[in-house]
Amino acid sequence: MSPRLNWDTKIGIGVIILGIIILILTIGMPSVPLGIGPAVFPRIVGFSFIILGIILILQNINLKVVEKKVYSWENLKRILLITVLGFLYIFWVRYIGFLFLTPFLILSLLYLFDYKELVKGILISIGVTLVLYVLFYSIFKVPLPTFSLF
Amino acid sequence: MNYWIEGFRFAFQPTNLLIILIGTLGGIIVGALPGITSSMGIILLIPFIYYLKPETALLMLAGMYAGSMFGGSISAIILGIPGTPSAAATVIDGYPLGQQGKAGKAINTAVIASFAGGILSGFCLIFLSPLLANVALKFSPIDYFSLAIFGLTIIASVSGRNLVKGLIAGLFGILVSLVGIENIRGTERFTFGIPNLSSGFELLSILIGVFAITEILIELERKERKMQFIKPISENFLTLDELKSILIPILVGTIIGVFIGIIPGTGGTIATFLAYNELKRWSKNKEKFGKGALEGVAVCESANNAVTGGALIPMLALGIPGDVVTAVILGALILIGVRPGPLLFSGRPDLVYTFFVGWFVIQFFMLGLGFLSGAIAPYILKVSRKILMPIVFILCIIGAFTIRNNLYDIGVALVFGLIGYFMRKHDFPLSPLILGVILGPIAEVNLNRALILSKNDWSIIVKSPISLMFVILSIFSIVFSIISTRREGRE
Repeated sequence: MSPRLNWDTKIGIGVIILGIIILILTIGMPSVPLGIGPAVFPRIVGFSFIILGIILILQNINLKVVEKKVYSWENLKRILLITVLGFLYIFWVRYIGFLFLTPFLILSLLYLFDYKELVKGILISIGVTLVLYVLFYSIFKVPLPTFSLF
Repeated sequence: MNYWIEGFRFAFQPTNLLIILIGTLGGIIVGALPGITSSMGIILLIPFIYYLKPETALLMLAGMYAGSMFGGSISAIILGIPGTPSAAATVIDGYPLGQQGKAGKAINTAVIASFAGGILSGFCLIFLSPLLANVALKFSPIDYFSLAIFGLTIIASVSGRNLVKGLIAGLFGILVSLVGIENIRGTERFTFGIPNLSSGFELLSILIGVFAITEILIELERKERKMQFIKPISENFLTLDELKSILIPILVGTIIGVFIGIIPGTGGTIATFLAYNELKRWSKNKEKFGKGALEGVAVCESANNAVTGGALIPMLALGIPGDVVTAVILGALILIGVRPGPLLFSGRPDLVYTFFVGWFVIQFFMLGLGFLSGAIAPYILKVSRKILMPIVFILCIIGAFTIRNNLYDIGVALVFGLIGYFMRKHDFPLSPLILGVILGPIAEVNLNRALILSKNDWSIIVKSPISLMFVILSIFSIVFSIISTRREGRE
């Protein structure tokens, strides 16, 4: 029976690869006559990753392991969506502004958290945005992004 | 003495009293709500503290910290779900008490124990932190290096059975801290030509990601808990015998809490379980634990609130956080221009002594609000997390933005939120990551300075008595962790 690659084994392999990449990236960093050069700590980290990655793999090479399911596709979709929403928000808020874009983000998040009441959701999104806008922009003078598309 | 008088005068100004009240009440509410941790509570305050005086900001943060540590016991007792991780041990006896219709007694026990733990640890804070700061003023760079290494070896202790994973997490934290321009010689590391990476990652962005956004992502997976019928809270008052019975547990919890709090990278969860186990071990009536013993609630709550004072000692005196919450507080203070460490005591004694006075005010506010919390708890606990979590997410975005008014920091927070999520899914502890981020640069910069001053003489590590002490402590820490891990493996 061939060894099963459980998650920890895969992570161990990833950690080893990361360690190797770090060591490669330190090639060309200057050495210094006094003190420790900029490459020393990265190399300590790189070598340590390789050693720890190997230990993690050795701890998990087990032919009979039955691993519990870590992810479900349903949950991964939500995580992916919230991440994409977050980055889209960061990109577009510079142009559309906090006041106009945030209600859409809140409404989307409410949906992701299974809040299904649309009318209440819209009211909550707009209401929370207005409260936060008044609080941070008007009272605390935080320079929240404003509309600048045209 | 003058500083104490100034401290009293400032702390008792009506505005500051109001801020302390808001912070403490906010902390109790945050702590009571499962899914929102003490760290998240601190993070949610970041956009607000920027516009307060440093002394006032520090008191608000401390109020949130202390309040949330107590607040976690409310849902632990009423719902059987710890509001904060450090209230997990409170569930063991608190929830059975709630089921027996004694939730009021349990909550009041938690209030009294939290108050006592906070007050007693406050005295430790007042006496120990200036002493530690005075000693730290004599630290040379090599002493700071060895202290940082000792702090990093604590990673081994807090990783439990996941020693390898803890070390990987800690090293990842060090790796993250290396991104950007190297401190001594200005060499760019791991920036890949991206201008934003030249300044590295802001600590607060990482903390917001790892402790707030990660929690939100974890909550996204959980189904909404069915609202249990919350029994009316009655039978509030403790009898004299019951009060006497919780005195020793409070003392045990406080001593362990302060001690654990002082050690970097530990925190309330470790302290409460340790205190509970020790009390049970020495108790003549072991069988009552787990079935609704007031002593069980008392020891846990005094421990987790004593941790708050203990963890503030190294944070204020050395600039090294005692636990993850003080790590977030450290980040928040740096944001507003306050640099904790030995120079804080000599440079800003007004701030320090105002904080000392305010600490006790916080405990009294927590006592009063805590006794009232039995009445308002059912309303707090009905708040739907479906509505709460999106609002918390937006507040995290604002918090990350206010660090430098830069959208890049929001992106960093999101990325670290994802990293934290995957780490949690695969049982990688998060505390070592933060320890690595904070202590890595301290270790590197101070080792560099020490070697430059000593002209590459590495023996200074053992020639300096303070450094040697930390080296010995580090070795003990590693050996102890390895032995504990092997013993647990055999069991």
